[in-house]
Amino acid sequence: MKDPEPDRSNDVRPRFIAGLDETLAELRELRDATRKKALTLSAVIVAVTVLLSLGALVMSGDFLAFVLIPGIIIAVVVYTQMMGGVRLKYKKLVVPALLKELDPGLSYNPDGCIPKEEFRRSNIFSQRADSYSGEDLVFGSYKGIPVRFSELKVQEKHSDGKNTSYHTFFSGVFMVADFNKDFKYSHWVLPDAAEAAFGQVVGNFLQKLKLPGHGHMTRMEDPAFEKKFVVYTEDDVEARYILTPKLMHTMLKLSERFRRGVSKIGFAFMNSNVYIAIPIEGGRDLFEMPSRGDLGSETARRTLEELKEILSVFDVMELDLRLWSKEHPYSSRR
Amino acid sequence: MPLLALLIIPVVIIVFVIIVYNSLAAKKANVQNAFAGIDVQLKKRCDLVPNLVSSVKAYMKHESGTLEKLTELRTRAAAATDPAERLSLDKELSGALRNVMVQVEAYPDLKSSANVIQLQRSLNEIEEQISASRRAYNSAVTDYNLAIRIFPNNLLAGMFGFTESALFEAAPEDRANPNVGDLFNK
Repeated sequence: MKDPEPDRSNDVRPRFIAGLDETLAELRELRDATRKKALTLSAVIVAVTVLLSLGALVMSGDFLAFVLIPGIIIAVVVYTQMMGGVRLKYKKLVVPALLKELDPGLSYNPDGCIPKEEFRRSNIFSQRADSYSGEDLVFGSYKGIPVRFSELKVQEKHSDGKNTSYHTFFSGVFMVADFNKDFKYSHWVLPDAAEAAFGQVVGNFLQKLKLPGHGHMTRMEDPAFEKKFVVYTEDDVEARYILTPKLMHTMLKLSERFRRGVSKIGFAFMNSNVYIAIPIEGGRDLFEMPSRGDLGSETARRTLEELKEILSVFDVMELDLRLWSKEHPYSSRR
Repeated sequence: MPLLALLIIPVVIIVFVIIVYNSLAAKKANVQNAFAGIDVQLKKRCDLVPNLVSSVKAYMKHESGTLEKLTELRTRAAAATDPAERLSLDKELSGALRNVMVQVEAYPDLKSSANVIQLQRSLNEIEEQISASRRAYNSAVTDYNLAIRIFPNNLLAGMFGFTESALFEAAPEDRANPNVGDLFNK
């Protein structure tokens, strides 16, 4: 019997990750040494504050709790800061190397993120971005297409006069890419919260109440798509030019893949770009080095998988497929 | 009091009739607009035909019959005034165009010529636009037909002569939807 075709899809990766072994071993050494130092320093800080508090108790009969608590806080900050340095080093050394393997056109800035103004302009979320932070900006060209993405955490401030609290309405990856067709108007494909919560009749009525700055609602012919998403558009024909049956199917699949509780994937199409907001499970950090335990090829492989998972969104949307009048951005003719 | 009611009831009825009439008229206008949208795209496709024929005829001498048929269909489609006839000619034109593009595959020089690639792109673009305008039309028709059918609109629709519009049915060959990407990659 003929042997099955060997799976070559992973051939390059393990070999490549093996090349990272030395870097990873050095990082592990550095991390463990730094952790030891950070733990010792933190322990000393805590011990000193405990002694101070006890001293105060013996000397004056007063337990100086107001020294103890800031002391513990300082110890935690010192530990986090010291470990943060190693964490950043892992990102700076490993992520760019993995990205180059996936596409040499991609660059990385661990401290960068998609600008707040751009997030706001995409209008995927109606909440106010009162607190906005992000990291891990990947940018450049992927398969010849200009793309950018970063982690973001965006919160809205709630205040009832006495208490102020921040509610996180987006925590995940926010992506921007050049879309494969030219278009003039703006369109939004948003999670259909109304229809999911209130059923079709009431949900439909609620959807029709206009969202500010979102054009008008339109219904697509795919019932499965309509159940998960609501489409707002400034032009009905152009919305269908963009949202082909195939793309709607892809978007449905993506929404299933990145489902996370009530947070769901949302899309905006404007200025010939597509904006995608993907909630990430548990708001977990991406491309992170584990703070203890193994730090080797398995860690790098996990980071690589995270990168591939995000980049696969551009693949399934076939953004590099340029069959229409909009040409490939980096070539006059392909 | 009964006198007041006698006055109010007709006013309410009249206002209701006006609202329903306007809503139906607006939906009907949407259907007509959407239909005009398809027509614009079909015209664009017609305009592409002479360009295509002149680019490929030097190479495709053996298929001169196909090209002649394409040109003839184009002339007839452009001249047709009856919408039903136009649509049926456009359907034929669409099939003939597809046929030519498949035949182009047999001529490697032709297939890789910048002009033909550009034409293929324009054709894909227009086909995508046609498909989008048809779907927008169907969506407008569905909206309008539903408005006519529901109670009590159905009573007034009959009175004012609002009748259901027909949906665009994709021709079997359109449904087959050949993968245009393959035309480039082969």
